[in-house]
Amino acid sequence: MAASDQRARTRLLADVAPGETVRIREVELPAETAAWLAAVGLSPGEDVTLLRRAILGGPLHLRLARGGELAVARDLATRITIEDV
Amino acid sequence: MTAHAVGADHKRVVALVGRPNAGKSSLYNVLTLGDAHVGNYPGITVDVMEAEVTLPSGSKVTIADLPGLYSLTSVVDKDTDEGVARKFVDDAKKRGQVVEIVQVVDATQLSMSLRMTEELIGLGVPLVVVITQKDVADSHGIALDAAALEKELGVPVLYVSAREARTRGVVLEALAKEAISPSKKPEMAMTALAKKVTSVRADVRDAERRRTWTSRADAVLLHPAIGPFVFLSIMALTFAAVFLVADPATAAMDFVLEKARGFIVQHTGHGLVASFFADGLLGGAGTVLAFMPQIVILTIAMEVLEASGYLARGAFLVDRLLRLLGLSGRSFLPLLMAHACAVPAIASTRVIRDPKERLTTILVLPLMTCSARIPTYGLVLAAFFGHKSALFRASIFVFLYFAGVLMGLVASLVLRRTATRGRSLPLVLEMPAYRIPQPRLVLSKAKKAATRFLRDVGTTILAVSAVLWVLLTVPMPGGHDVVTATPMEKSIAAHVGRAIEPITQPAGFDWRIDVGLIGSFGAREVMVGTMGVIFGLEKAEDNPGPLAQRMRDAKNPDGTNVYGTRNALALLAFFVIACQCMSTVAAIKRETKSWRWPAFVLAYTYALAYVAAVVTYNVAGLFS
Repeated sequence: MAASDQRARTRLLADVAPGETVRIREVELPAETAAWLAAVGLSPGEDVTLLRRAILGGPLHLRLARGGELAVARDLATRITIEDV
Repeated sequence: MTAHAVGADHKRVVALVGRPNAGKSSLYNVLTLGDAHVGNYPGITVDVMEAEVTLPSGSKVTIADLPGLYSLTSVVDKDTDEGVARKFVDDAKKRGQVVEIVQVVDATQLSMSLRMTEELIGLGVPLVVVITQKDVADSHGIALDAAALEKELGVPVLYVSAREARTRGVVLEALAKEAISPSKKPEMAMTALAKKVTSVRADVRDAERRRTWTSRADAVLLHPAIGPFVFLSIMALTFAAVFLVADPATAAMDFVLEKARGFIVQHTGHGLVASFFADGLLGGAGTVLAFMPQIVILTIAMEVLEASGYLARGAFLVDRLLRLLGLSGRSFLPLLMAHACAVPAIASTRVIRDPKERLTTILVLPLMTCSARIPTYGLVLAAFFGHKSALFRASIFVFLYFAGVLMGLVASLVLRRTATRGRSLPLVLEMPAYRIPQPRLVLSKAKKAATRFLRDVGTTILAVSAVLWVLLTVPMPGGHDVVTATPMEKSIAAHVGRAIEPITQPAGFDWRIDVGLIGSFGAREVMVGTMGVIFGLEKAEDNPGPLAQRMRDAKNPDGTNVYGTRNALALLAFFVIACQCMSTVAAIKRETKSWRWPAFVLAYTYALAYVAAVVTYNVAGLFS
């Protein structure tokens, strides 16, 4: 109940609008993949800005607050929950 | 181990590590003065460049350039760049070498990179941090306090610009000092540390301008409508450059080879030995050399696209499309290039980071309609359908062209669900700021690609050429041929062809076509010439008319025609799919570093080609 309630309020990185800056909350992937993503720069607590999406449900173009820009696949973005900054 | 890796001869190995696009290649080039060869490290599937460098202290070290990576501890799969780097470090330690790590850091991405620094300190290996792109950071108005950073981290920190000549001396000087293993973890959090040592000048307009410049360029180049258009134009240009260069290069090579052949025949006569050199080895050498211009042009194009930052943008644009096939945006360039030639395309799969995806792309590339297939289709069509209308031939031609692409897509889908199932890394593409590529770096990569191709692929092509020459020229030992038989009819290949005739009969191939197929195992364009020789004609590839006539006139003992439309269609179906190209096979061996995958490609394309030929022959039979 509480979990589903929280789930309902949880937003996904995949749903962010272009131009919006959000904070990564959790990466719901196997530990070693999540660790690799953290090394890349996508770890809980990091702020990212969505610059644009590729057409037809393609990748998301992100700017990391710590520097650098990344494109991540949409299905990966559905595994990353976010919160407002 | 008989062939010693250079790295194994020296006690000290300096490994360059850093995030992709951190400027590692530039620094490597400066430190080694452009000298590099591929290290011989068993079990490592990605090339590790290395060179021996003499330090100011007089001692020698091996400097190795590891692939760009994000972490040495978070290794998802041993075949990823992270896995390769980790294995390299572990293996060197096992061999009893002293491994030192030089972490290459992009000054404009310090905060991100310090995360890896922390990790490397935790590994306990001697570490030197080299922050590069000082020139870029300066222009961004970013100032770094390297001394403060060094104090906090407890390891040497250098702040340089790889484009400056004196950088080499500074870095080598630091390496000559006794290696410092970090003793303790830094106390400060890395994000805070990055903030502490970085100061941005008040007049950051330049930085803003640069960032805006990349943003502005992206607004156009990644625009939903303009972006794909620009991308396709750039790809078409690259493709045209590779394609256009192939023709004159091959023509020039043919001219030189013809002269050389004439010279050999003139001086040694028409004996077997002369033929071995003139037709066997020289022909093979010609094949090797004809690829060189294509390899060089494609490498230059790829390096420019990669170094400028555009390749990542292209991958971003077409990623969704290729995802349907189980691939990703990074596979686009190799797949396109394969329409010019599979050999450079296979080398270009290095831009694909995911190991399984890279392998899939390599395995389906040979199915694309490469430029060598086009004249072959033309010749086979002329030889078999010379009497039909031009429109008929043209439509078959177009169908054959797209049949290759279609087969490639199907093969990719099937492979991604079977042999190369799964993805080891989620798709994350670095989108670096746009930069002007350094011509020296690009040219040195092209030179390396060319020499590697000569050494690794060239030797295989020569060997296969020699073997094929023996099969097609040397009479079958103990063969009982009629006295009137031509040399080709007495050859080992002819005997093999007759032996496998019962197997190929369901596809409509008689022993003569079998011999043609054996001859074209090395290169598909040899088919028509070989068939010509079987029918007693010289140079059928230059004028297929008489061959067409003789094939149409060929009769079975019962008076029926040997070859009809259905035989020809079956043969074409075979040609679309079979990987009749030893250069491709050799290139796959080179990139996968095993014979397993080239053998797999040969097995699956030949089996599929056989099935397609049998089906075509029988379906066509229903209509005739």
